[in-house]
Amino acid sequence: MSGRLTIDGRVVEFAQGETILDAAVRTGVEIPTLCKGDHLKPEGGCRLCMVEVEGRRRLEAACHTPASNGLVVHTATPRLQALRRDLLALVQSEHGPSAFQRASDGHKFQRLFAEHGRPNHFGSASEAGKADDSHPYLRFDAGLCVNCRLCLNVCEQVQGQFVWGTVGRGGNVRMAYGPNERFDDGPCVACGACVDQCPTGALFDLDRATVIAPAAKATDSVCGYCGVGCRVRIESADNRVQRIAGVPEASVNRGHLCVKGRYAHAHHHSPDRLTQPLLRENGGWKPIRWEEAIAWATARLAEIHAKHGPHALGAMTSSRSTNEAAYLLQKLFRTRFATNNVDCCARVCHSSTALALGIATGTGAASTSYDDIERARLIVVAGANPTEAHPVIGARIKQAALRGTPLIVIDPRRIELAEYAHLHLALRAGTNVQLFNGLAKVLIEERLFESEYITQRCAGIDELRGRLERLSLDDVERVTGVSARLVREAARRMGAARPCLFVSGLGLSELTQGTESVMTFCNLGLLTGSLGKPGAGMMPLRGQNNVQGNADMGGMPDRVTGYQKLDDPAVLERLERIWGKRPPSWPGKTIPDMLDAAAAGEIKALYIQGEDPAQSDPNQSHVIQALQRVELLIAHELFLSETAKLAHIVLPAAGVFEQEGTFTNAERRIQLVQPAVDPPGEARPDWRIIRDVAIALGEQWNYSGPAEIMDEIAKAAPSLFGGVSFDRLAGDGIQWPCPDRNHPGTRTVHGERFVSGKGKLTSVDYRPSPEKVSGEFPYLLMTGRVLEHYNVGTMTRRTPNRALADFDALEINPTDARRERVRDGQRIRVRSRWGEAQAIARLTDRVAAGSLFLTFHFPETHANLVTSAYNDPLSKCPEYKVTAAAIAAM
Amino acid sequence: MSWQAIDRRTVPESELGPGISQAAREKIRHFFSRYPTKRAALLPALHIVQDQIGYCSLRAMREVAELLEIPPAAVMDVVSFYTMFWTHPRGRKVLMLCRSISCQVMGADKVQAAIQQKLGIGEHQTTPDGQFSFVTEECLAACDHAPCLMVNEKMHKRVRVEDLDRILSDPDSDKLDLPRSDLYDAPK
Repeated sequence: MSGRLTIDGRVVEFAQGETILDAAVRTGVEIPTLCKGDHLKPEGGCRLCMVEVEGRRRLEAACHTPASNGLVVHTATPRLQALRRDLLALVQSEHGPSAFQRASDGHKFQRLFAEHGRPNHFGSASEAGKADDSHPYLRFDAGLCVNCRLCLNVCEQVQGQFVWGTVGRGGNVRMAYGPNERFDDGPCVACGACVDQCPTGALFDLDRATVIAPAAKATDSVCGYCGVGCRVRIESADNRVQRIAGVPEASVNRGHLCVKGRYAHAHHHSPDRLTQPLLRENGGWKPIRWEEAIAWATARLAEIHAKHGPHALGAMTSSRSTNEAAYLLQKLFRTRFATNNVDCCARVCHSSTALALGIATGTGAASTSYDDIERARLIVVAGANPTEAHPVIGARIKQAALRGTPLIVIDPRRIELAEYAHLHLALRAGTNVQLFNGLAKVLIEERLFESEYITQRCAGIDELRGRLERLSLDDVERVTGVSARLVREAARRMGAARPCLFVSGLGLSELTQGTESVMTFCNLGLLTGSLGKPGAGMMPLRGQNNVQGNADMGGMPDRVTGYQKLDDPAVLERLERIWGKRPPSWPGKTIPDMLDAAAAGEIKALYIQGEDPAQSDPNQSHVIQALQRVELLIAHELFLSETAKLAHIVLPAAGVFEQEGTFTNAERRIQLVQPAVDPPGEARPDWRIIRDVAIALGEQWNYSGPAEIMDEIAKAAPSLFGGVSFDRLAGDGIQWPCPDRNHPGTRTVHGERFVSGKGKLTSVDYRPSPEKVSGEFPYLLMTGRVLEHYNVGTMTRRTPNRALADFDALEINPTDARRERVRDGQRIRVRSRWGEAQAIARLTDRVAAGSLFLTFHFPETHANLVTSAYNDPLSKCPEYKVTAAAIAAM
Repeated sequence: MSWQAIDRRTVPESELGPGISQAAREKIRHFFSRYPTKRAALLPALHIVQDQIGYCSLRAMREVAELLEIPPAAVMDVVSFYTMFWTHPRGRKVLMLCRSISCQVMGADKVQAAIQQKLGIGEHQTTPDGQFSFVTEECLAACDHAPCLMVNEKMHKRVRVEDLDRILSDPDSDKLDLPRSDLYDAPK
């Protein structure tokens, strides 16, 4: 029902489902509340929002009384004011006399008390005991808690973690986080949402508990961890980050954050940040001035280029830095050095996804937006563990499942989302293609596919049908370990719910059949008619904050800015007009190929901007050998990473909160990054370092800043970025494609037609990985991440996150552990044909017997000494997810 | 479930207390079919735990949470609401004396003083030999038999100070014909 009601004499329109409070808030009438949070269901506990409704004898709680037509509501009568005074005084009387003096001013309760309360005439309780500060980031002071239950409600309704409960009864009820009543022992994932909700300061961030001065400055920017791209508000004072909060109105995260985004920022002020350019000299590091550093680096680059030609140089652009920096570095190598030897770390994560989706649909990026999660009729999550690796999206998927949206999880491990899934298809690692073919077979045979969509918009159905006729579900069961019954049921559910949302991660792409895994996954999207529809489509979750943007900018050897082809004369002509030089049309080398060429002595100079292949790339000993062999290794870094340690010159870069530019997230959203603090010492933003290198090499690069660089990007790739400009990026930014200034950006790609014209169904058979288990190496090892750490851990290891997770764990099934005589918590050695690593055993039935799972966050583990040298022949993406391995207790 | 995904294991093994036996687990599982949700089987599950362990240990509460697929905090919520659930070890026999008005009028105060003097313990305490614990209860719902005292499951009515020696020395002073948790007869 919708209609009109009157609040304090003002006539207010209300919509279906709104309460009196909703209508009042929208009109700007302030009704005090203590237990109601934005986006949370009403609790109805504090009674502060009581209002008088004409014609009704009793008072009504505005937060859960539905608005109805013709109501006449009064919100501030003397009767109500007296009630509020007493309520607030009663709440205060339950606490010690000094309780609310302890909390800093500015909390909601203190504000309400000042506005509506009166001196407490009910006496007061005795002083409470010490606050619980056992957790590295969160403090709970029970003496300030008013039992509003906002923490409990936000934990359940936003994060879905169910940490909080109440203990005791009657007047003795208090909030608790479980049987042990200690924060650090509870299931808390430290998302910090409860701190944002807490109206009294009972829950507080420990990272700012000692901060006395209020933040002097608040800067809106974008989180620098994963590819979700949450918008953050950085509070700072004295050039230090004090606190990070989510931007409440942000489309991506709606104020929510995770433990990394909210709390893991201490690395910015770490004492071992690089503050000056460092030159390797006599086996040590010599700090030098910037002018010297730029002159030294450019002289060496020019010399190697002159002597050995363009094929002797290569660059890796950074997925951690801005679009503008990535764009400049690929431009520098393509113009000044006339080489396409430019690649980025997307190569070792989602290159298979980008290639596969590019072939199947015409664009390698997500077809969807995150808002589709809430609209989806069915969600399939395959080879992704979003509650740990993309926590804010993980929480949104979990909430959707809790609300009843059917969820199908396809993953060898019983990941957290699997617990909420209607079906969990626990396939053997690396057998995706077989499973997806099995699902497609059922969709086609039982005519559950979208036939009109397939005939009008897609090609390849006859070939696919023919190929799948030869496949039996028994074969699928034999290879994948997923029962034919389960495969059939999953396909039927997808067919019945179509169109569906398909979320995927590196479990699909980091395989020798990675590209084909994603192609066959995309088959399911096409068969169910999902691409281009709201609430449905392909949603690959990107790894780094700007890995999407980095590839968009041309950080790849076969495509230039905006994925434009290098063999298209029109493209080369346009670039020549803008760049003054024509990039070469021969394709350059990928990262694995560059490293091979470096090891073979063909590549003599490598320019690595903010990446750590020495720790992150597979077959680590080979990578280190390659990096040691080059004559010149230039690294932009925040710290002396494993790669920087091998460099000849290290240039200190500005961190995520210290520079201006843009990041592009996994839903193609270009968002504005703004500096909150200055870089330490002489560290500089990447774009400026690259510009200065170019100028020293004789290029006429006069960019005054990132905004000007973005204007050039818009000209270089007009079909995707033509309408993108810094002045349009305030707030939620723009989702590409955005071809002109009047274009609003694109929520759903492939709406009317596929970018490539027709969607392409892929017919391909499953091929087993060359890594096979044997008597000597009986286990299949997968690698991946945990919530608390980010990739190689360079940032998170320098924060209190270490107190939450301080080592790499090897997950092993208890049955296997018994056979190997391995105890929980024991240090063990993991061996493969390629090398050896060490980790701490964690016994869990989340991994199936015969499988192992290892994280790679700590350099001392050497996880990538174990991983193989195999990669996907199509995308060159390494096979991190399947290695035959053996273990032994140490 | 999400609350199991994070397992920091910060509590030392020794502080977790005993866990629940296979037999007790089976018994708890038998209740699942009787209710629309597993959560609804929490009360019988906690009685079974107390029958087996004597109290609700930290480990047992976690195990019940896992078995019922509910957050550990929800288990604590219920355990802390009902006074008959204990979160720390108690004596073999728990003496629960009614402190409501009828019992007080009929001499419960004297009985309380005598019990505390004989056992040398205060409320919520346990004798050093682990034999007895003592608590008072708001009402045992037997005013017509005031003052009343429960020993574990068994009710003793119209208790006088001079009855105490007999009650304390009788090894069967706490025995019902069948344990309380068997009253919830799970379908076979």
